[in-house]
Amino acid sequence: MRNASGDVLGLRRAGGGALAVAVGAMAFVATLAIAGEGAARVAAGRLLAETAPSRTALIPRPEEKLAGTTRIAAALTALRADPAVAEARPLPLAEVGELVRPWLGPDSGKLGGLELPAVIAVTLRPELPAGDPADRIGRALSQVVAGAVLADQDAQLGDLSRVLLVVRGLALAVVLAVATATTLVVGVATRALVLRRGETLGVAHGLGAEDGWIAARFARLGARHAATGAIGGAALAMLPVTALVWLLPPLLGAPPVGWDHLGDALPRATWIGFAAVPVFTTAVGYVVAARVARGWLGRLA
Amino acid sequence: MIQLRDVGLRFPGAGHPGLGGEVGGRDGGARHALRGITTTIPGGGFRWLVGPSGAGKTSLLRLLHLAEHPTAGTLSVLGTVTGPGHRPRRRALARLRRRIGMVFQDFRLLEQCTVWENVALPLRLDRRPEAQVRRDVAEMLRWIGLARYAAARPAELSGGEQQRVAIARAVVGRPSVLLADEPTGNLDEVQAERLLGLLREMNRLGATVVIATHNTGLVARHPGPELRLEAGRLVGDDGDG
Repeated sequence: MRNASGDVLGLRRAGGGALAVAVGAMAFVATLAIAGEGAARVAAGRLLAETAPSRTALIPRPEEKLAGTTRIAAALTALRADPAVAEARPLPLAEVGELVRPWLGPDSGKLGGLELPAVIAVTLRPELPAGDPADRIGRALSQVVAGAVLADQDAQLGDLSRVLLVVRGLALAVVLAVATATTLVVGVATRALVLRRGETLGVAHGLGAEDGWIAARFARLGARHAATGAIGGAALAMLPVTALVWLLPPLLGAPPVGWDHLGDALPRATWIGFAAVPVFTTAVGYVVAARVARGWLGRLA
Repeated sequence: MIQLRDVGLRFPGAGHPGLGGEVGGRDGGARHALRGITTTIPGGGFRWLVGPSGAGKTSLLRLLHLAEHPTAGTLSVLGTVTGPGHRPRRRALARLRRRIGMVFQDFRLLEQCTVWENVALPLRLDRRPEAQVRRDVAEMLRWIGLARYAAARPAELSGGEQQRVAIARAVVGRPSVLLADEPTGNLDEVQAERLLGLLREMNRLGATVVIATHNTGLVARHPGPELRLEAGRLVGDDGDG
């Protein structure tokens, strides 16, 4: 009988479950998009870590004499003397044949008849100071052995970077679309509730209720429904996210993640993104509901 | 004190939900609900607002309740002035409305709230202490004879009972100005006399009271200064203004 809790406008009695469900569905999608972006970053990071230290040196006319030795031997000596190089290993002809098989097909085994440059597989030290030493090594190599080239992985890394950029862009687009849709859904739901309670609001306004007092009630209701939906949707999304966290390392050739290190399987920014979904959605619910209510009240004298 | 200086109220277009069908005149597509109203009602004064249906009584009460703002002239209610060139801040208007009790012709009770919550609403909007709210609402419900219906919803009450709840809501906060639009329309003679006794008592205690009615018998039984409206114009004023 004595409703001291302040729901004099009867807003709580007007329901709002549909709004919470709609917001929950959108929070679910946003959480998955953020997880996808995080997984793409992890995969790209692992591939970069595997490919970044590897280089290939090409030595034309390898058996030609150079300062009392051969050009290939001089190149190997120079590379192995460089502190940035962990390993320099000449590739046997058979391995080179395997490398060019995609282009030459089954005839790649007959390379002996061609005058090909020798190939040296170079592995750089990962613990070296920041910055890519490949340029410097390549210049030094070409000074020792004229015509020698240290091929880099720029094209491959560039492709990987572009793929990652596209994935991140798509994730951001999904999150923005979901945020826009959430704003619209909260706005439409609040507008419908305002219209349904229009007479009540008019009476409260006439009795001296301030716009802020009325708008705050709509804001709290909008925030509560948005928070309920977003927390539910994000929690539900944790099921596929957990599956992703379990499956991602084996897919990338790494051992499965233990329970203790589950949090390390995705970047910290991704986990922060997960937590931000309900917080942001709640804020959207509060602000949008308040603005819609204030906008309607502005029509009253 | 309430002062009106050459007050007019004009609505663009062909209708307004608050007019209750009253038409003072037309000018192009616009409706003039009121024209050239000038009068003063001193603090603690009493006025009958009389006139035929459609004369502009409800429009004038809506102006005094600050639910509308004059489109011509100036209106001053409890020291707050409003008019075409001057519109008080919304927060100040809300504060002022809390000092004005209004009995609507159509009750305007909150259907989703109980009788108790309806009567308590003005006190809560005025942020009165909860203990005072409980005491005042209980006393008011006892006085209007509806204490046993405190937990009922308005829809469960008769028209007369709803009218009494609306009156209780208007007076429970002891407003400085009390406006009533046909407050006895749904009451039997005994209840009507009792209500007028309450309004007179509020007036005796210092509230400015304006009661709109077209019930000439009621006015004759309770004589007092009258404001007579016809077609949106003030055609008679027994008061000081």
